[in-house]
Amino acid sequence: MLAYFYLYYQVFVLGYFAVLNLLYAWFSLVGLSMVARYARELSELALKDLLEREAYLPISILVPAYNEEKTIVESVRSFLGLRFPEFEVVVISDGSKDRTVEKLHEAYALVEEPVVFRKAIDSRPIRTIYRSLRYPNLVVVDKDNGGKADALNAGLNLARYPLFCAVDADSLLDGDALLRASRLFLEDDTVLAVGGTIRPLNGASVQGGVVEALRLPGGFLERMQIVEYSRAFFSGRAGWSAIGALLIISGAFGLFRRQAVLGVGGYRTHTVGEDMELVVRLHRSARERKQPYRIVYTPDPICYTEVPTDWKTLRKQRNRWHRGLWEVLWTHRAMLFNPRYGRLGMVAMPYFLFFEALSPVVEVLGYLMLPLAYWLGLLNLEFALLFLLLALGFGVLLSHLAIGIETLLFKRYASLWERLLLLGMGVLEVLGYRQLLALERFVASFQVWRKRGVWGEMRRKGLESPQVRGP
Amino acid sequence: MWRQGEWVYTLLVLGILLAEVWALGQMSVVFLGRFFEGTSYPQAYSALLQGVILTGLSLLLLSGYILLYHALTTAAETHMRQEKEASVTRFTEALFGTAQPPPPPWSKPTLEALLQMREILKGAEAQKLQEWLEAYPNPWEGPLRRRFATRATRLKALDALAQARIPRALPLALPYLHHKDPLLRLVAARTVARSAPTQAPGTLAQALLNADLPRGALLEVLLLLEDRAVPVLEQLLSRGNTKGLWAALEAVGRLRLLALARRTAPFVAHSNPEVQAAAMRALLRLGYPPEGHADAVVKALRSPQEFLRIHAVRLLPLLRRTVAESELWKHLGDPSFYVRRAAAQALAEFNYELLQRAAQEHPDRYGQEMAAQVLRER
Repeated sequence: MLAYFYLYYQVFVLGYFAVLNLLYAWFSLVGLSMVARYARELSELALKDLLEREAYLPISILVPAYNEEKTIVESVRSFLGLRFPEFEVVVISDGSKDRTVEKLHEAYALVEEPVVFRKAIDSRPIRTIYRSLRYPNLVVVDKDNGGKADALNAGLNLARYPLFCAVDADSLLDGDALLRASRLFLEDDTVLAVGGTIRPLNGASVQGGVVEALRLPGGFLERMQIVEYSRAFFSGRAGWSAIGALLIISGAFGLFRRQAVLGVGGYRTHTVGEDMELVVRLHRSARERKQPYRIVYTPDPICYTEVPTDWKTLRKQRNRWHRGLWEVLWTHRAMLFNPRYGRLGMVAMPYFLFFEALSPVVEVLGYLMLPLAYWLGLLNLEFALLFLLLALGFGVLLSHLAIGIETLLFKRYASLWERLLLLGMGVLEVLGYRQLLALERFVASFQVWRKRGVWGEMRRKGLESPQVRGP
Repeated sequence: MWRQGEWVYTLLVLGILLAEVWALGQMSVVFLGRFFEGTSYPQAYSALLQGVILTGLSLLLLSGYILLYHALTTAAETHMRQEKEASVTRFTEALFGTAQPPPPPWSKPTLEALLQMREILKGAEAQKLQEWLEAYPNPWEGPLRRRFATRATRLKALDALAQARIPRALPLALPYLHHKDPLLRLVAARTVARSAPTQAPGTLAQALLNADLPRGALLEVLLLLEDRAVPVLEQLLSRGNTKGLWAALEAVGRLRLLALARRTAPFVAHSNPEVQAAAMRALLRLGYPPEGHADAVVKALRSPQEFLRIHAVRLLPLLRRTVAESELWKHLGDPSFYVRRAAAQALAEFNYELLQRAAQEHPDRYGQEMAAQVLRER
């Protein structure tokens, strides 16, 4: 009986493995062409033209913050320094228990301002609204704690402009990020949302809220995440965007039409996957109303974010991401295999169910099967090792494909040594790191209900480079 | 930002993909055969081994390419940067001193240096640079006329022509306004707008309309025309479709073209609400009253569409004082938050005392609060 189960599982894993890797490789190819197209589309000259003429849509930057005293001043400075003609920065302190609001007070000379605004979406009560005396386009909202989505909804109520940009408080944006992302809305009325590329900030040289140079960080985990992020954005998201089925715009940086988001009821609270959930809901609503629309990824607006440096925080983050994915799939289960939603229902959602949500289950079960099969005398060791080598080789290959795109597009890690190290990290990633994270995601799959809406604390180091931080 | 060489990389990725498809396909067939006992163990083993070898080779090839590419482009870019900097120095000396400009044929970095300077400098210096560019055999003609040039090459050539701003760019760029690739159409339109002389506005307007650009892109292009925009906008206002009208009206306002104010006013009564709103925005930017069309503005105030009411309210201060005051007062009590805000803001500019009074005694509580809010912001 067990022998039969093992045999069937082997066949299943082979099929799963073949389909998954072919899909990944295809995404790499489609993503490559898409990235090349977007990179060529907007030259420096076109950017200059957009900036010098009044051809832009003003933007509200919404920065939800919870206990972000270490990073908030620098990130807000980075947002205020963006190259864009008309924007406001709305920081929403979501009941922070540390000195987030005080730090902002000290840095930006905030004054209390009674504001009348339209409460288009429900959110937890707002305690005080402040405006900066130094930067009239900086608004700080102090509100009761209600979670990230609730903070974003409060910000959405206060936002004045037709586009809004949701960014994390521990992130920095490239100077041209808004300009590059917002022109897609200008040039196509059907664009509802645009996602950019997120890159790890760790190791970067930051001065005055501006990323001056990227260097590989010293930590093993941080380096690993650089490879992971490259793969996720330059292959994954680029590929999905190219086929018009982008389901995730990272919560760390995304630009949306405010009216469209208000139209679907804003961010959904009590979920840890609020970023993906919003995008799926925008897709769903547009498809149900048969409205022409586009939700796209564009590689050049870059957001830098601080990635976890210790295992505990990284595991918590991945656990949360995986639970978020399950929550979204459950909430929108009606879309699965539903032809009404086109390639979203027939391709993207099933892919996310079988090859993202269930992949840690398949992977971990596979690892558990090996000693069991060996003990039962069913394992052909030579064959199994060869298969494992092939699987790991594919994993490395996909990482290297993404590093290749990064080299062609940005080449932000300038030295050859760093490039070599990155390629090396792509190899090391499959030798333990990936398996440990798969285990965490496996565990997360069984915690979806029990830990619904639970975020967990993130440890922050601060955004400025140590050499330029004040005494 | 994007480096040359994606074709080689794409071919490499395609090759790897095909190799993997073959390996995985073969493995699947053999393993399934093994499952149904149709193939032998050595066959399955050999298929797996082939897959491993192919993957290993692909990895070696890809990593090698990435490293080689990194090293070569770093060296080439350093060399190009140095040459470009040297060329900027030589052109600057020729421009402001007695030295001669670098003699043609110019290398790629030299040409880029010249184009960069053309973009930055204005006036007599810009004229001089343009003369040098015009005297130089057009290096972009080949890629734009060739039938089989890559899109990247064409985009680059169009972008360079846009920087050069030379009239002979026009016959090269105009055909691309009808290209099947929307990206090439957009970039060509930008080039045309930057290079177009004031003559032949009809041709240009028609070409832009036929280019079927998204309306935002069309607006972007019209704004690039700057002081040469008037005749083209006149044409668009006369015979443009809804998209063309919207873009033209937006451009009239944003470029502050008072000469077209009289032509703009009738559009506040247009049947399309988007065009109507664009006309109202343009008149507001120009500060020009919609003479003879005040009724249409007042009618728009009763529209069920919120955005139309907002624009009509903003335009009210340009109407007769009595009408404006009574309508602004009335619309402080509009059910829409944004219309109330627009009314309060318009009152703040138009009649501050009335706004103060509204903050005290407006019959609508929300209108009163909005008036107080706008007063606080002042």
